[in-house]
Parts: sequence; structure tokens; C-alpha cells
Amino acid sequence: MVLFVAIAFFGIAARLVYLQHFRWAHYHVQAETVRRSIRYISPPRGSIYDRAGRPLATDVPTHEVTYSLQGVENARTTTRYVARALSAQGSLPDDRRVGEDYLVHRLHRIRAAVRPQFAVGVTPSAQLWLGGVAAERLAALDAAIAKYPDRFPGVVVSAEHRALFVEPAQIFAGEVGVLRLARLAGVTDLDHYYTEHVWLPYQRARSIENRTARQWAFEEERVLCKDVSFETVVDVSYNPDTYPGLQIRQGRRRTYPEGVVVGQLLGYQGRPTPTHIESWKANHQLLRRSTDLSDIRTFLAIRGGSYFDDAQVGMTGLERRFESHLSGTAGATIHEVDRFQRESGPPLDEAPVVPGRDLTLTLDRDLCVMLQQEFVDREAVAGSILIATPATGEVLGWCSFPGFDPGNWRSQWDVLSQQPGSPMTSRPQRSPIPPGSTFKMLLATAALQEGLLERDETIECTGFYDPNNRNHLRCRNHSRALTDIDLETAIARSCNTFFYVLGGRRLKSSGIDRWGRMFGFGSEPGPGLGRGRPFRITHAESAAIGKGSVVATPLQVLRYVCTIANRGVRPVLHLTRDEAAPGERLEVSPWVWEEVILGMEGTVRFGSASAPGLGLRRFSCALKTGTAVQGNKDIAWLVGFAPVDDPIIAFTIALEEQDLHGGEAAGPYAAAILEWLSEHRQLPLLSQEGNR
Amino acid sequence: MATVGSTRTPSFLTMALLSLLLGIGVLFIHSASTAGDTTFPGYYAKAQLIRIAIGVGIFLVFLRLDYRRLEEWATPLYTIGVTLLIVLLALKVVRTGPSRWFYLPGFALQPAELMKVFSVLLLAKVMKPSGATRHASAQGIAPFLVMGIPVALIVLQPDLGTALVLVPVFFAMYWAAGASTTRILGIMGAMVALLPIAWMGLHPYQKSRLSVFWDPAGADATSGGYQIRQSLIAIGSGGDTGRGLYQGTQNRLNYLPEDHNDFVFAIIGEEWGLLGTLTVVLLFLSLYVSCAGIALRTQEFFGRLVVVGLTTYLAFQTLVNLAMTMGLAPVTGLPLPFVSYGGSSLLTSLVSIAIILGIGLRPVRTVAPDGLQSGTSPILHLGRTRR
Repeated sequence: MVLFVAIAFFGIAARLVYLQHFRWAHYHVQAETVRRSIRYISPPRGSIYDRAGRPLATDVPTHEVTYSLQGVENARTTTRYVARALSAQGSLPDDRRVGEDYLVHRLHRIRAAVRPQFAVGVTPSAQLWLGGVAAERLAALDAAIAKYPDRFPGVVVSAEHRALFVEPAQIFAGEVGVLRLARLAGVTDLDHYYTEHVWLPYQRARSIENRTARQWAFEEERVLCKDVSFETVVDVSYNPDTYPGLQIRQGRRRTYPEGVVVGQLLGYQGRPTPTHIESWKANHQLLRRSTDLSDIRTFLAIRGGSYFDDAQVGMTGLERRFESHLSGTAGATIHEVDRFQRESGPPLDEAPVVPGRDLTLTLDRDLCVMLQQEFVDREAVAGSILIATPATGEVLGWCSFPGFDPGNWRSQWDVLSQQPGSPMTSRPQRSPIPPGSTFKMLLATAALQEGLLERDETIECTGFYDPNNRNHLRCRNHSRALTDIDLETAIARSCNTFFYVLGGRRLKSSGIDRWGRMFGFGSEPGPGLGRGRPFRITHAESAAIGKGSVVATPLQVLRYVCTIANRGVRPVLHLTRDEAAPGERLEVSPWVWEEVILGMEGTVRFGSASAPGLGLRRFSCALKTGTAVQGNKDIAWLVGFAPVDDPIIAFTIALEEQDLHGGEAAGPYAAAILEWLSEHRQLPLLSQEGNR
Repeated sequence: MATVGSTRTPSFLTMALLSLLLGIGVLFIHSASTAGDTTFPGYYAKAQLIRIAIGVGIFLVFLRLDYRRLEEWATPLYTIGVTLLIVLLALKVVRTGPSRWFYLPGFALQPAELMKVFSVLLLAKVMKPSGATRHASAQGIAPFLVMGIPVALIVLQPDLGTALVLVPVFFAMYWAAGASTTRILGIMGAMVALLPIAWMGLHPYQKSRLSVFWDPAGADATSGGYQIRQSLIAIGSGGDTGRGLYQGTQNRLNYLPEDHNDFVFAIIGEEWGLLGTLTVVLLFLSLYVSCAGIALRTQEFFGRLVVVGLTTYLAFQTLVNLAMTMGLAPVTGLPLPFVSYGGSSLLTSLVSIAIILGIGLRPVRTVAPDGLQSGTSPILHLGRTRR
């Protein structure tokens, strides 16, 4: 007897030596693997600042509550296991199929019945789930439970009753937690909330599973609540039993402090589209949060330029254009996790995130705010204002009206989609419109440079280009008393006939076309600033006054104005200093520019923007008005630069849906801009007369 | 009779072994039940210490007790035990689910644990040859009945593990009482032959339980239950010297459920390594060898049978628990004596060892002819083994 016991003990000892000495490495690796879990960290996105470092878009760290379907909706996972165990042996005696759907249906009814008890904090007693189950089936289920108790929380087999019971508090623990959280967050329609966040994703996960037999959709980390309060963070972290399956993760929220101001230019972020994901996959850049690596080196090898499939990526505007600059590189920590996948202790290994780089724009935020306010105050329908430094091509002011707030446009979509003037369109880049009479300086420059117009030459204007066809190609821009028009007057008073002659009879389509391209029409005014429509002149007379086949984006017009202000240097417009590039000098004699600019000065002195009420005479500026037809309404243009001799700023104002002509409509805007810049940026824009 | 020494206290070695086992138990219950930053003793270790204190009190009472009084009490104690088991079964009909405990204020009583001791006492009494019938085999069916009733009641609870512990206890005592090896093998053979018939009579649900029971969990760790898998990882990853007390990751991160309870040995393996596990195995072996020594020294029939029975119960339970944590036996819910956390089990183990040591303390004062004459002594087999 002693011998038997001794042999048994020696057997145990031998087994111990085998396990602990010879198989140590094997089990050690298992222990190390099972307890290590990787947690990915999204990199903070770079901020966007204006030229003075005032924020336009920043990332605010927040906390979000995440979950996996498996963790929260384990009632359904459990149901699946139960159904699988029960249906392993054919049909029930009474021929009723024990399908998963039937069990879920029953569970739904139990859930509905016990919900009121959960609401008042009462733990409901065990409920009958399925009765009249064949003994073999129960036995199979019981065996499964004995083997994998973790898969069957709250499932009670009763052989005596030939029935299956559930403990609601255990099987619905996930739902109770989610609903508790929702209640904390002030959600009223809890049913809808649960359906939206858990039940529908669950259905989708099931259909994925049915199609591909893959389980990842159940294990995927999903966001339940974003931007949760500190109290919630504490509550969830310290009471994991109250919130089973829920985890706190650091998240980020993109905020746009100025809201609608330059919103379209900045653009918005969103979840990556299937196109994004396909392209990431193709470039091996995709990371799933469910990817479970236990070694930080592997992660380091793959993380370069990788994206999470639930990352936020720039969808439009600068957020999209500077995506790689702003996005940064993901980090990860390897943590010890306990049996419930909860982190424990400090990280074992860490690959720090590389935050996205900041982006500093050339824009002046306050100026942009002021421009936006002008539109609002004057009750404009739509339009754009652009202001740039002509010498460098830096864009200082940008306003596209109406706009949207990239921070919360989704919640305002109903309003935005009904609003006239297509608020989602960034006009300066994306909406080519006829430049109207602002195009006339181009013809003047071209004609003077090519010798097709003498310096002091006058052209007769009788109000018509062709006296035989008086309904066509008219000029109503100046008094009929004025018939012999020189260039200065033609520009200042915007005489159409003068330019019909220049365009139609002297430069012709090919000349306008060539000079248009020289001034940059039809090409990109700067990196990422939009190409507009192809530039091709088909009808020289209408093109001569900036109508017909001539269309340009406001940015293209701005570059054209800057070129005149620079006396022939065509700048590269840009929004960040990094993109600055030297301009290109046009082959035009200096006197030609002075002739043209003289006409633009005349616009303020005696021409189309000379009305004292506009208040532009105080400033040393060279302007040109324009009015282009757009449907039933007009587009009112006013472009120019200031001061005349050594321009600091150039601007374009394009107001759509106008009844007034260019100078009348846009003049007050220009005056306000010049006023503001003089006052707030101390720019020497006042004329000597104005100074007095 | 002068064959037995007349010391009044148990040997220092035995007491040291016992204390070491209890101490290791408390230490690892603390390690297993705390997050590591809790100061000693913490909730579970404190509870265990209280139980040990109570247990030691009862231990001393039983140590002082003249064991022959137990022979008188055997029948009433057994009756009480069986009654409790029947009451439990009756309650089970009312409630649903397994019922193994009586919930008393501050204490959960597990009658099946106590029944192990009571059964051994009555078995020893009925197997003890009296007068003309010197051989236990001549006792007829009585021992089988004494054994069969509690086994059946415990199986019905259902607590197959505890019930199965009683089977080797019975055979060891039956053999020690003088039954021939042939006879014992015959009975075992008959039981094996009856198994298929019993199997057919079983409820399908019990069949499935049994098939899980015999599932070769140890052969392939991946197909075995979660606990066995985690337990193997814990023991294996301990290596030669272990990860250090409180440093086991399987333990600290809760991968091993019931680690302060049935799987405490796995934690010892993880944190103290091969050195620790072999030490613990050696402690147990030494303790049981010294118990066997007491059996050999005890000339009086009832006392010897009680020592054999209780030692077998403790040793078998130890072996089954160790085998279970190493994946050599199915998960049966049998705790490790003296080491695992648990009231009834600790109490029963301490009472058992107290009775064994108490018997060892008392020189045999019997007069011939009482069946203990040389040549007819039931120590025959044990003596042979010793030689």
C-alpha cells in the first residue's frame, strides 16, 4: 500500500520534472503570449494655425467608451453556442426546430420581461428559456457547459425539468451596462440606442460571418460613446463588473475654433471610405485595431504610414491635402491583460506615437473673420473675397460664402442642404465664373505690348460695337456724351466698345487665348488651388469683356490682379510658407503696366467705383469693377490692389446673385477691407488725400 | 504490549510537516487571492488563518481524545452523516441545481466531507474481527453497505469526485483488515464488469458528465478544459525555480480561476517552480509515510483500520488534486488537503490527521486473544511490504 502511494507520488514528481524542467520553454512562451496584448494608439493630428499662430483646427484629447460585440452582446454569442449544442443531434421530439433565431426570440421576450426590474436595480430570478428539451440534447449542452463554462454565462440546465433556464443578470450583463451608460449620457430612447449601437452592428457581423465564416466583426473594437465626461470615465474604469465589455480609450476630437470661417478651405475629417481602405491595403498601410501582435518590433516594422481602418482621415480641403503632414504615425503599447482582457499595470513595451506635424497657413484669421462678418452683415447670398500679398503670393484673406463648420456640419446637414448658394462648395477654387470687365486689363496689356494700340490712341464708342446690329455687343457703361475713349477712360469707365474693338479686330481669339494663358488662366494659380476650366477662347468680342467662353476661378483672377500689381511678375499663390515659389516675369514693357494701372486708378478717381458714398477715394488703390451675367442675376466683381505704387495687398471680390453692378455692390466690401487693414494691420493704404 | 512507544506528543517531524503545509497554504492563498499590492494577510488568507486556528483547536481536542471512544461513537456519527445527506437530497428536490452545502450562519457545512471520516470510523468498526470471526472477509455484506450508502447519496448530489475518493479508502481498509488480494481483485473485477450495466442505467445527463469526467484532458492541453490548460501553463512556465512569490502572471492576471482553491498547487508551481513543487510533494509524501508508520505501529485492530482509511483518504485526495492540476486527471473539485482554501475540507483534513496522530500516541492496551496475535495480525500485508 505504501509502495503504491509512493509510486504514485514519484509519478507526480516525474511529471513535475517533465513539465517544469523539460517543457518549461513551451509553457513559458504560452504564458507570455496569453498575457500580452497590444493596444494601438492613434496619433494626435497636427493643428492648423494662421500666420500669427492662432488656431484654426486643433485636436482635443477626449475619452471614448469602446466595446466589442462579443463583449457586450454575449447573450447572442451564448445563444449561438447553445443552439449549436442543442441542434447537434437532429430535431426535437415534438419536431420543433431549435434554431438560433427561435432561441433569440425567446431571449428577447425574457429580456423585455425583466427590463423593468433592471431599471429599478432588482436582480431578476432565473427564467425559463426553453422547455421540453430532449434528454440527449440537454446532455450534449451540459457537456459543452462543463467543457467551456466561459461560453455559457447564466445558462442553467435542469435535467429534472428537461428545460433550459437563464440568469438574466448574467446573460444580459452587457446590455445592462450599455444602457446604464446611455442613461448617464442622457439618452432617452434606450431601445433605439441599443439597436443602433449593438443590435444592428451585430446583425451585420452575423451576415459577415455567414458570408466569410470570419469572426473579426464580433471582436472588433467599436466606439460606443465619444467625448464622454470625466465622471463616466471614472465610473466605467472603476466598475468593470457594472460595465462588462466596455473599455475606456483615449480619443480625439477635431475642433475648428472659428467654425464656419474658412471651413471649406480647411475641409473636414471622416471615416475612411472603401476606396481609402482599398488603397491602403494595396500599399500595405492598413492596420486593424483587432490585429493582435504581441511583439512591438513587428509593429514598428509595419506602422510606417499605416492607417487604422477606423481612423479619421481628411476628406476635403486642407485636411485632405495635408493628410500625410497632419496625420502622424500610430503608436502602440504592449500591456499585460488579465483574463477579461483588462489592462494591468504599466506597459511592458512601448512604441511612442509620432504626432502629426502642425501646419501654419499664410492666412490672417482675424481678417478672414472680418470678411465672413461682412457677408453676414450685408446679407449677401453668395460670393467670395480673396486677399493676397502680390509680391510673394501669400494668401492673407479667404472667404467663401456661404460656408459650413467642418466641426459639426453633419448635424446641420438638413439646414445646409436646403441653403441657397451651395455652402459645401469652396468657391475660390471650385467655382469658375465669368470674370466680366475685370478681364479688360488683360486686353489692354496685350494690345499695348503687341503694338496693336497706340499709347494715346482713342477709339470711338457710340454705344454699339456694330451700328448695324444694335441689340448685340452694346456699351452702356458710360455717358453718351463721351465718344472718343482713350485707354485710361476705357478702363476707368469700363467701356465695352473699346475692348470689343481691341479683342474682335486687333487681338482676335488667338491673341486673347495666348495672353490669357500667360496670365495664368486655365492653369493652377498655386499648389492645390484648383485648375478651373480649360481656357479656350471661341468668340473674341464677348471674351474681350470677360464673358462668353471666358471663365475663371476667383483664385485665377487674384493671380492675374497680383501680376498687374507686381508690374509683370506672376506669383505662385500659396497657403503655407513651404509652398512659396518664385514668380514668373512676363515679357511686358514697364510703361505698359503704368498705362493699365493708370486706368485702374481712374476707376476710383472718376470711373465705375468713384461714387463718394463708396468711400474708396480715401485709399491709394487701383481697382477694376466688373459685372457678369449669371442666370437672372449678376455677379458683381471688384478687383484691385493697394497702395498703387508699391502694392502690399491685392484682392478680388466676387458677389453672386446681385442686382447691382460691380462697383455699387462690391465697393462697400472693398472699402471695409481697406479700412480694416489700415486700422488693424497698420498697412499704409490711405492716399495722400485720405491722409489729410 | 511493548511494541509501541508511549510518547504523549506526536513526533516533532510530523507536526513540522503539517505546519509547513498549512503555512505554504496560507502564503499561496494570499498570493492567489490578492493583486500583489495587498498587505498580508488579506481577506482569503485571513479567513484561512481563522479556520486554521479553529481547526487546530479541534485538532487538539481529537488528539487528546482516546480513539476507542470513537469506536463507540462511530454508529451515531455515521447515522447523523447519512441523515444530513438525505436531508440535502430532499432539499434538492425542492430547489434545483447541485446541493452540497448547508448554509449555517458564518459557515457553509459540506456533509460529504465529514462523511468521509464518519464512514471510515464505521467501516473500521464493522471490519474489526470480533471473537470467532477474525477475518474481515467474514463480515459479509456489512462493509459494502456501510460504504455503499454514502457513496450512493453523494453521487446523487451529484458530487462524483468526493464519492470516488471513498472507493480506494474502502479497498485499502478491506485489504488491511485481512481480505486476500485475490478477493479484492475479484471484487474490483466484478465492479468493472458491472460498469456497462450501471452505465446503461444512468441518466443520459449523467452519462455526459461521466464522459466529460473521463475526457483525456491531460493528453492534449488544447482539447482540455480552460482551467486545465491554464493550470498547465502556470506550472510549466514556473520552470526550475519559479517566477517568485506574487510574481506569477497566470495567477496575478487571473487566468487561472479557482486558484486559491482547487488549483493552488498550480500557483505554487508557477511561483516557486520545480523546487517548490517537489518540496511540497516531498512534504506530503513524508507526512503520509509517517502516517503509514503509525498504522504499522498500531497493533489494535480498530485503530489501525482507522489510520489506514484516513491516510488513504488524505493521500488519494492529494494525488487526485495534484494529478488534476497537471492535467493527468479530470477536474473533480477535490481540494488539496491542508493547502487549499476551504472550511469543511480543511476541518476534515485536520480532524483526520488528529485522529491518526492520536492513535499513534496511544500504546495498545489490549489483551490476548483479541485477533492481534502474531501470525494472524492484519499487519501481515503491510509488514510484507515493509520488508
